[in-house]
Amino acid sequence: MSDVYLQALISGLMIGGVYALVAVGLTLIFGVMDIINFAHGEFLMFGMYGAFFASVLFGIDPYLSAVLALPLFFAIGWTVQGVLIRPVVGKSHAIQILLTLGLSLLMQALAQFLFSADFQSLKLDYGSATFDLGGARVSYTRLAAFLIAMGLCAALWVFLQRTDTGRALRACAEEHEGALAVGIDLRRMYKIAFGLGIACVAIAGIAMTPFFYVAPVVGPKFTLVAFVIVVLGGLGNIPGAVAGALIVGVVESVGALVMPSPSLKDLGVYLLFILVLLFRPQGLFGAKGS
Amino acid sequence: MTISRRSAVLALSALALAAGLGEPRTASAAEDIPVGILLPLSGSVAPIGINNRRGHELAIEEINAAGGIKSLGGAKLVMIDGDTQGNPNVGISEVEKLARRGVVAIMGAYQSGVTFPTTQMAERLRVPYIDPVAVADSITEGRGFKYTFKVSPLASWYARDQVRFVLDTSTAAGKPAKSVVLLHEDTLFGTSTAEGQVKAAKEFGLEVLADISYPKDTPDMTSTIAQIKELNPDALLLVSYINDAVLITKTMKELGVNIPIIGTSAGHIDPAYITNLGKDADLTFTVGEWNVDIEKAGAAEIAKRFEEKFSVPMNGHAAETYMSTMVLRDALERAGSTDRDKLRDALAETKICGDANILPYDCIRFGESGQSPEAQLVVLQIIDGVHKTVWPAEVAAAQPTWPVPAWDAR
Repeated sequence: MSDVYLQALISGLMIGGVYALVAVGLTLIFGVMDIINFAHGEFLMFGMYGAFFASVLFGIDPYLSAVLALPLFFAIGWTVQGVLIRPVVGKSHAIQILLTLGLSLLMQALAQFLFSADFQSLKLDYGSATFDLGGARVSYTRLAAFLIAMGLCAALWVFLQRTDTGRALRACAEEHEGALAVGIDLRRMYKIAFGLGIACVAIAGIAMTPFFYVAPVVGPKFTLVAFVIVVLGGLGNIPGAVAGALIVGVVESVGALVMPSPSLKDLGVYLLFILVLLFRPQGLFGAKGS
Repeated sequence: MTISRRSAVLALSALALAAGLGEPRTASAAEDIPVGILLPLSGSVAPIGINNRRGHELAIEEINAAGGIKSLGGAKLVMIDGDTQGNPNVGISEVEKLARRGVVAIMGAYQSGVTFPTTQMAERLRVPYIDPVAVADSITEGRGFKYTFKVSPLASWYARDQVRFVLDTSTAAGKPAKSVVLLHEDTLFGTSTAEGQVKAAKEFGLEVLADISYPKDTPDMTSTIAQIKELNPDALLLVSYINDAVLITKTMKELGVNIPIIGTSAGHIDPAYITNLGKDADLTFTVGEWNVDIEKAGAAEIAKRFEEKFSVPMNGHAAETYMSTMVLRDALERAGSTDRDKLRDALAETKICGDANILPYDCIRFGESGQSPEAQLVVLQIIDGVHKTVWPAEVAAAQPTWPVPAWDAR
């Protein structure tokens, strides 16, 4: 039976890695702009469709698509921020939620119109190849998704710590007026933050296409999970989001085994979520505003 | 080709019209027989309702082309549509409207939730009601209705036939199955089907090692599949929608789980299952209502005419609505009357057997409750990317592959 738990632990960590990249994008956007992007999962879905059609129509490998997606989705995020999100920055949360929720519905409807409501999946030669690790089977594609996600999270962290732009972004997150006072171009920072957040979530989607299906309705599930993770890790806290994501991945996966029914596997996650909201509203990790 | 056929049809109808005009109707000429078709023709389930209607349409066209109802002087059948909009209340008022318009019988209403109350109204108005597709046991069982005739199998028979199939096939393969694991999505469809599976497994002496439900649209099923691998049952009975069905099969391949998959229609009978999984869809079993390749003379021919007329393949629903219309024709011939009570009595005496019945069992007849007692499901296996009928043996078009070989040996 221990093999089963090892398997659950490993697969939980793998999917947790993907959750991390989704959540990091969400938390970065929140940290800098104070906006919760409810359309986050829809950018994941568009990333998936991009990789799907690049592979089906032009034979581009999804992993190459992931590289190409970085500048492309950064540009998309930059533009969406400039056109749609900018007018509501600093406005009431209700307006922001309505806007991003509306964007989410619009993108789902658009995907249904353009790509049909059908579920589709990529059929790759290496799609289901695995290797053995101490009695558990590890899928290469899931491992690749995990490594890509962790690598990008680390790169983002280094970018935020070591570069001038990164420091400026953190300054915005900490203190808007202060950042403005020292001459940081807030509008540009917002666009960068949104662009980076969208690129992260789109690449998370692309990294999943070798083993997951694509459909217009795939997004909301991930938005919800990412939201839980971001609250667990502390809003705006990037290492917290990564740790929270791995915890959620493992709790879901092992929970499916220990709970009387896998239907209850999310119970552990949401219990943790409620407890954190009650007793540590600043998140499991780090203090407010860090 | 299409254009010429279309113009031929136009020319024919013009001729028919001219003939009709030239020969005014006399008192002795057979009157058209109105038949009520009660289906969701608008709303979210309309695509399925429209497909159900095609089976009736093809059958009526063939009946009329072959000279109508002979015992009624060659009277032609005419479809009168009642649109339920997928709504039970609308359905009930449509039954009243159809009854007022003088239909001899009503056929419908695809959804169990609409069929249940509309059969009640039909019973009160004493209108014979044929249910071709809706499966819920409660439509016929324990109601004592006299005017409801159900051609479709009972919902609980899906589970019964899955279990019978597992036992038949594994016994034939020389190693009778002893245990199963149930894996199903956790909404009403999954849980109610699983309840039936537990009951059927008990009845036929199969041990249920685990009854596992999972939340729909879950992103990762690895730990659940690993658990099933550990339990190592002789078969896995699934109730899944298409996306979960695809994910489960992929995960089973990843973890090297070589247990036969037996789906419950839904996701596993969806053509998208095959397009999503390609080669990996092969060898999956699913229970289904009907399949074009079943060993019934005439089934393939009717399916071909259906596809020519509507440009979509004939499915189980259409086969059931087609056959139900033939049941009505047979009863009208024997009744020799359009009186609803005489027609009801004739329906109760229905016996359509052998190749005259394209559904996957011998005779359509109706028991005391109005249920067709022989009705049963078929089990299909995907072989080279096509659903093939492999059970029951009398109508099978191919031999089942059981047990299934290891993934890396496929």
